Amino acid sequence: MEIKGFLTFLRYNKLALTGTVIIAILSIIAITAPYITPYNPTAITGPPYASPNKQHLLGTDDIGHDILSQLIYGSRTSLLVGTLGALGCVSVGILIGLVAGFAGGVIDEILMRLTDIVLVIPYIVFVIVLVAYLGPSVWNIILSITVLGWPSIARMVRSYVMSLKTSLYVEAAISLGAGRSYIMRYHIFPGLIPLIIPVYVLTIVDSILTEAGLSFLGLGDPTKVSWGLLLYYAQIRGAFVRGMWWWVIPPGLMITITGLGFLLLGTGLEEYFNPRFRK
Amino acid sequence: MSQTAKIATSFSRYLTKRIIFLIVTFFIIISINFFLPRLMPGTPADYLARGPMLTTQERLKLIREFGLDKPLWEQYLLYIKNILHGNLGLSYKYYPETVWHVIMTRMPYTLFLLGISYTIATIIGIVLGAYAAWRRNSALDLSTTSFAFLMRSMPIFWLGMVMLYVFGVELGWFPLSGALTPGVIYTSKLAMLKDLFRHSVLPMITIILFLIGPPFLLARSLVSDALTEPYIQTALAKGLPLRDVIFKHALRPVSLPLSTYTAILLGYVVGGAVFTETVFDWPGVGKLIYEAVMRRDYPLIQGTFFIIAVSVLLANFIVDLVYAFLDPRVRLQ
Repeated sequence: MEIKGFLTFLRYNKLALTGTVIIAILSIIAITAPYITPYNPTAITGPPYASPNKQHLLGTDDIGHDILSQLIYGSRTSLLVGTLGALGCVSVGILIGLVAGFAGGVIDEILMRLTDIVLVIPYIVFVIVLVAYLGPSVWNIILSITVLGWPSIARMVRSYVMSLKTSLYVEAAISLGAGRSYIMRYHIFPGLIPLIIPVYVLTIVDSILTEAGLSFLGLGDPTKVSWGLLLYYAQIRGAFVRGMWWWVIPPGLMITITGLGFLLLGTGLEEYFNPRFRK
Repeated sequence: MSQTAKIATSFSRYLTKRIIFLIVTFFIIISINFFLPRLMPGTPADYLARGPMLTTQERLKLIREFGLDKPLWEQYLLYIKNILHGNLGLSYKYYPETVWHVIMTRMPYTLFLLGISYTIATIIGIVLGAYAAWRRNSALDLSTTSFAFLMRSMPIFWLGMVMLYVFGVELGWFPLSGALTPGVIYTSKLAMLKDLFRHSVLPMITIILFLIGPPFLLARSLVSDALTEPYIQTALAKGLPLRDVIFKHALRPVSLPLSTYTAILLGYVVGGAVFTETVFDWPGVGKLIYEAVMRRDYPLIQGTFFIIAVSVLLANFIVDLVYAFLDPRVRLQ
């Protein structure tokens, strides 16, 4: 029923529809990558620094990899890190927010000060340092995003729990003898899910940009093809000075389009679940 | 108790809380810095007293200064003592310079770049946001909002690369890298400033475009909320000029949401600096962290992380105090 309602919503919200279409196309590209790529992205299939031609529609890089094939495979890394990194942040955020909101007192105080501390340390620099020590791999990047990206979600969940705790109907349920698990199941979770889904989708944007940024700084997983890594090599091999715009423009465009897709969907979901945002 | 005395008490209570938070966070940053290299395989001396050009004597001196052969707790105490004296060790890459010295020579470049771009971006963002809220769904509102969305999903380093290509390589209007032309002897201070300015135009525009989004969206949502308030309606009905209503009435009570927002924004600004400085080869602290990571220069990684984190912490502290001073609701929270 929820899905049907959302589909109706998409018909009226063109921006959210655009976002959904972008994500759907990207997912298909990522899943079917082995069938639609002209070449193996990590094999040498042409001369180095080739301009776009019939064999290589987007030319080749400094080693002779086909750039188009790398671009197609790059969607996998972006979507993997984006969705799992955001999932990590949301899970930790919900956990800490729920515990802080429910427990109150000293535990709440400690968890909220911890949240403030993580929030005050500059995110990107912290992620860079963490990945530099842990070693550049997709899993370490996802782990670092999880460890550092949860604070604002935890705060949101906590203030949601706090507002429910003092609401009359929850108080009534407690006075009628409802236990903790009952309150969780029937009063906290139903409201939490519409709150969290848009946040999850919007956090994917941040995770994708973080992965791209890390890869651009040379901290990407060297065994995986990714858009950020393509730009890293383009930068250090002087693609622009050689006038090779076809090496630089497409990966950045892909990151931007992907980010935009999730941003539009996330904003749409926010409006869908919280009619307050509808204008 | 008189009114001023009450304000003073609430302010000093707030100040105490903030100072405790400042000190605790400071020690947590130090601890992160201390433990991270020690979680890696091998001994700490392998990471912190190393470098291709380090002499045995210097190596032993570093091991002694930081107690790298001592038990963990003793290393920790020595680390705190050293950091409080500004001793962050020796860089591998910039040997024989100390980490502290390397960072401090880079700091002015970053402060120059960020200070100017941040100020310009905030002013443009707030003004545009306020007008977009006032003229909701106008062409200006729709185009600026879509622009903010686009910037939110675009990697800043790619924006920088494209700027560099279009205005640097193709059009040749601006130099391609650095902050000053290498090897030039300037005839006057003014000539040097002119050169610095020419180099800083592209990175500044990049950071400004990147930073306009958050203040724009915030001002837009705050002002459109405020415009429905009765006191704004009254002000408008009285015939006060629109500019005064928006900037003096609608934007004034917003300092409460702003203080959390500043913490997040400062992190965002620093991220922007790291990527922009790397793309434009700007000799600031942001690019230093990239160099340190590339060379796995661990003392330099530790040092830059420490200095950046503490600077942002202090900036937040000052901003919080200013808000608390201006807005009683902040200190009564």
